[in-house]
Amino acid sequence: MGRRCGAILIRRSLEDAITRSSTIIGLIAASAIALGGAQALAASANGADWPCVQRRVATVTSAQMWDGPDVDDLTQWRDNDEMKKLIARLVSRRVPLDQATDSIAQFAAAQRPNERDQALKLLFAGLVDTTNSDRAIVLHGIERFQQRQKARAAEIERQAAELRQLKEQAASDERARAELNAAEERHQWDVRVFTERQQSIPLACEVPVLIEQRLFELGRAIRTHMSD
Amino acid sequence: MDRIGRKGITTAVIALLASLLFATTAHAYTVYVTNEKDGTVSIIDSAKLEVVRTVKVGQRPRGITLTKDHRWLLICASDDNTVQVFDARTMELVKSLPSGQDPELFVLHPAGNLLYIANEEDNLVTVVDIEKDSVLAEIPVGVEPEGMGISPDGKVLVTTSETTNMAHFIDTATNAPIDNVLVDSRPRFAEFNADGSQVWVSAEIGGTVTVIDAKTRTVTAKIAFKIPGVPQDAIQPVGVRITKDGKRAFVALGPSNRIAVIETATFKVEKYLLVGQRVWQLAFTPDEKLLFTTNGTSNDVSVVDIDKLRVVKSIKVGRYPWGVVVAPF
Repeated sequence: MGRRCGAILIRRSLEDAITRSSTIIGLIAASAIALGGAQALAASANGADWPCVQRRVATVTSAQMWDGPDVDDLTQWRDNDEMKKLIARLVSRRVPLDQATDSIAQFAAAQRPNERDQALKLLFAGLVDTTNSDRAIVLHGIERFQQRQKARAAEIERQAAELRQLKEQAASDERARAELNAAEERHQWDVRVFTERQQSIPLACEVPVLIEQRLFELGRAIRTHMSD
Repeated sequence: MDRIGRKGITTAVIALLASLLFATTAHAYTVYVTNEKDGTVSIIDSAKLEVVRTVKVGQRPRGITLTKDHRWLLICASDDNTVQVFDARTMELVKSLPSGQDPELFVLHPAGNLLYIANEEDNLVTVVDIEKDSVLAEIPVGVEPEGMGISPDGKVLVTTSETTNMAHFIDTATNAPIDNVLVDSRPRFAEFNADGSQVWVSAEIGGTVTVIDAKTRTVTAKIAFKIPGVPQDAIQPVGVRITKDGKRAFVALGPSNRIAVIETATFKVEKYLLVGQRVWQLAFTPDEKLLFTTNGTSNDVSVVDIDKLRVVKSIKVGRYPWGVVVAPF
């Protein structure tokens, strides 16, 4: 919790620095703050490329998602086209949850009473597996995003060093003065892009949470149709 | 009227009185839940088990508690850097208290007027007099204080330090530190039992609950959790509540989506109950017949029947429910 508030404070002070000052000192200070922010966010307990305040959980198990039996080893749903189609519809967050739970009710009603529990277990096994695949893609995407942010941060640091050097030279060198203006602009732009991308991290980190929320609700709905 | 008739009427009257006295309608208590993301408080009727009112409060409301006289509801409005005071019955905003930066959790002294607030960013505990609306002291503590517990006699404050993994014991008469006890990684919550003999401290990343002897300040037990099929790193203990008779403790286990029921005599887990997602805090009704849990990620509150040890209902509230408190009315 502390790290997130620190990141917000860093971002706010960075924004203040950019808007208040167009001087080199302001820019160098801003880039130092941005880097501090990047490093603070990157050095999480969950691995160097995990920027989220939520802990990185690689996969979710059926036991986490419902109080029904453990279904992680069931795979027969893969041979059932009807089930696979239903699974794809249920996991899609574009389908409103109440429609998804209706589909589950219809599926349950269509099963023979002595086969219902087994069918529902298989259905949930497929949902857990599909959810984990979707989650893996999102987790990987977040980590790649963070890697690119770190590369941007390194570039910003390099630019800051260049600016310091150009400032020293600009006092006496006409060409350096011209280069300085261009370098300032480039740096300002890169810091801004970095900051805006940092701001989208919390939203990206919410996506695995949304995926899990959906699975938990589907599990609850399936349980209501099971005999135990 | 003959003797049999009079006796019959008396019996009927006694039976009627008995049925009225011992009617089994559930007592209606008022349950308040802070919704961290929505900036609201959901109010639940514990007999109807539904939300009866949603009230707009400050930004990022988290810690919530009632004053000892049950007149006021106190809420940490973290993003407003203030503790808001509401009339618990009408939910009118009475006043705002100074709180230091980013207040998350707090605890009231049993005497009623002193509020100890954890200011994580500033490594402080701010002591506020809720009657006089003034800051009485700022106690420097370990890095990133979060959990706050106070002994039933009010003499000892325990605060947990998220980064240094300590439970700090502080003398409330002098606000001076007495002792530090090392617990496991990222301690979140500290709770004294009703007779003040133990402090239970949950460690979110460590995945354990440490039970500390309050007198000797040594570790009595360390409780680990194992749920078949659930990876260990998903078991993240946060809120802890202990029954008044001291016999059972209930621990929220975060993204394992379960609470653990612990037999305090043996420190063994009696049962795990699936509630909602990322279960965070808990509160009993005053008669301890029901336990309400806040499930941050499923945006709902689970109701646990304590006699049957069963989840009886899930009630949708606002986004990211965080704290919960139950009033005796």
